[in-house]
Amino acid sequence: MKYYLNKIGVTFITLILISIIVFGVFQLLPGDPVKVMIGVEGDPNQEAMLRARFGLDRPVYEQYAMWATNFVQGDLGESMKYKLPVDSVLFQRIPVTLSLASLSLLITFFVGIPVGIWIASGSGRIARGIVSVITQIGVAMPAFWSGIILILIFGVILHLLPTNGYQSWSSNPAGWIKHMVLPAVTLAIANTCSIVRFMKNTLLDQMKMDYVRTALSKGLSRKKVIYKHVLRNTLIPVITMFGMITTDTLAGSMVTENVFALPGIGTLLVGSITSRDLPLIEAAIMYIAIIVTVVNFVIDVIYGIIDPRIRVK
Amino acid sequence: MTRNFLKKVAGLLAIGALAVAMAGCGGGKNDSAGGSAAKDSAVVAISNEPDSFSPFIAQGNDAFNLIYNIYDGLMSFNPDGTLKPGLAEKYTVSPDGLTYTFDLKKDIKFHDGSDFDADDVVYTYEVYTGKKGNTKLSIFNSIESIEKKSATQVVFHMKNVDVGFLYKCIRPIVPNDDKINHEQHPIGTGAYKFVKYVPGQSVELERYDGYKTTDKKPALKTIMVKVMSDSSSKLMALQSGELDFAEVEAKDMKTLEGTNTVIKAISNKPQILAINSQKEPFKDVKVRRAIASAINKKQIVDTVMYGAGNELYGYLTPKSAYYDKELKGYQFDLEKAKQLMKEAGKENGFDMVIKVPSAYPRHGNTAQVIKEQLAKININVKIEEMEWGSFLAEITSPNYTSWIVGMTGQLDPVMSLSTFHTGEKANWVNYSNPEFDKIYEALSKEMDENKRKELIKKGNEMVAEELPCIPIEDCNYTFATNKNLKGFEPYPIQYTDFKSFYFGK
Repeated sequence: MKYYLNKIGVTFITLILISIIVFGVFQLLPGDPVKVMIGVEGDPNQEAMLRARFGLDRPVYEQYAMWATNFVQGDLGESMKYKLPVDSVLFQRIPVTLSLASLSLLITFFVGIPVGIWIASGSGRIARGIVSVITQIGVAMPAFWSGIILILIFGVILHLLPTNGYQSWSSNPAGWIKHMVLPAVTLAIANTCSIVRFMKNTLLDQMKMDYVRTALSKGLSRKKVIYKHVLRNTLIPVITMFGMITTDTLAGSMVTENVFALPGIGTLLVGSITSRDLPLIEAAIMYIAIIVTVVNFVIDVIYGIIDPRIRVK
Repeated sequence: MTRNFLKKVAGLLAIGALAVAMAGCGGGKNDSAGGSAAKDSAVVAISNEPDSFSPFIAQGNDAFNLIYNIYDGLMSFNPDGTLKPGLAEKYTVSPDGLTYTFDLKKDIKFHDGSDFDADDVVYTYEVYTGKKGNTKLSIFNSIESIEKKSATQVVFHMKNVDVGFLYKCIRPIVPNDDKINHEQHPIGTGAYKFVKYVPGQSVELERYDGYKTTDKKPALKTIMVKVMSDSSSKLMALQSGELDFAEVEAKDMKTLEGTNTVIKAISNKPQILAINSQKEPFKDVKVRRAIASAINKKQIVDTVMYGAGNELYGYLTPKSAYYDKELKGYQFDLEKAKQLMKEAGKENGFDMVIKVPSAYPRHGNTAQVIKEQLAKININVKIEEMEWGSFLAEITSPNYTSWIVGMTGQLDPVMSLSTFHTGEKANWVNYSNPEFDKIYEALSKEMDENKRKELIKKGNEMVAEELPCIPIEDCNYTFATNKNLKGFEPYPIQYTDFKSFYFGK
């Protein structure tokens, strides 16, 4: 219990530090949100009005104190770019990234792990060789490139799927799937290939361990050895890897979202940095930070379940 | 045994995954998003979102592109850049230029059903001039007061002569109602009604059937404006028919020729190489002339813009009603450039840094070509790419050295030339020349059209001779449309007139 309480405490301190760092970096960044908003030919009167509206005419520490107080009370402020409450902008984006991430993770999980096990299982040399080459290419392929190739084939040539945009599940489930398939596959390609290779390598490494030989010589069946012992040991590094992939995708894949013009967290963050939209940047980064810490926490818990020794440590 | 078992598990899982993926594809088969049924809606892409929908807050061109479809001003503009009455039926200007009388059109209603009359004009301009609310536009500083003479007549009394005033009157008119939040839900008299804005995604506009400001009736029922910043995504969406209209990169024109209609149009945005004439070695006009002579603008148009550009030697573009066809300026002449460098005592050259915004690759590419061209007169150029926000901070600093960007297209030539007027906020190039100021100040008071023309010509000639910046080219707009989408007309400002769109063979 103390182990988990400790973890939660560290998480809070991390979040506070992150918020201060974001604020600080923003002050160091050249460029002025109001200038970006109204352009260089903008009206000086408008400029002053906007500066006052967003509190930019106050000292930095006061700005931060104001932001932090509001944040704790659940008020994320007003987006400078959209002139809307930050939470409404952010919450509109979360389902998009969530859809993309969950679908892509499903693909990664249900393709990556079985294929990894299959390659490690040893039969069918040629097929395994081919898959091995494919996964190598898959890992190396950048998402913007594979995304465009997929759009070209399924959108432009075959006219099977839309090339861009998003429809929500609640408004149109079929539309949601149609719009999500290509981005999810694009995002899943590299992840799946890494998981396949990772799974294969760890599985093969484990098979060479002494405890496997001991178990086999003790008279256990091969099947039992793999499922009772090897897979469990393989899972720890694979879950770590999955955790990394999960935080990555949940935080929004900027490249994939941009290629498919998906209004997710990734594109939001890029756009808000370009427009120096501090309240939105703070909120988006806090969201990502919370996701990352929560996922890490969950993974820690899972470790403990799989390997009780970790809890004791 | 175990291996077989593992293989079975793996196989089952893989089949499951495949089934999920197939289900996804199956759903898509019935309708490719483009659709070919009788279309009365168009999907249009924009790269940047409007900074606001409120005419009182918005500043960016991307915002006004949409705002002018939703709202009308007292004045309006033609595709050739000339003015015409908008919500005004007619107008008269007193001989001293201090009184403007607008007679308003009758029977016009706003999108919310309320009638348009003089009260709305008075209200709108009281907000513009800061008499109401907390916004104030400095372009209307010359207005002394706004007077309602009758329900259909409004008189503007001016503090001083403002020859560009009628151009400024294209600004939208809003209903006389404090309760309307134009940022959230704009309401005007324009051809299209605002329906919905999903930040980062789309703006939905619907035809306003009560539109009466001009005789032209909007043809398409809905205009779906999508935010798409990635150029290859736009390209593919155009090819697949999901997008009906978008601005595309010049390099993509060839690719799109078979599947779409490609339109090239003068943008009226002069791309310039700004060099700080208050700083050494650019203080010497000979150095500036040498640089101008060493730049082969045709090569830039051909390589960077794939032919979609017009070389510029003065500041006004061919889209301006005051463009000077005869103007020669400093044409490409390497020998002359070397000679000028020698005269300036700089035959051994110098180093210079050109800053460009990374968001607009054309300016970076232009800088690459210029780097090579200037190397021939021993100028060693270093190019620095900057993120947009940082770039804006750089170019508004009077201490800059050099940058390349496309300037905003203006309807009013006086506004264009204000770029070089001493002390002007728009004087980003940081230029000061009493002789030019004299011309500009005379121009800003001149009401007589012939004398105006003469002064504009003189001012533009001075830019070409004295080179407060090196005009490079008009980077043309390059648009691609659905082959059946007709009616598009380019304007000298960033504006797409949706009411002219229709579908036909």
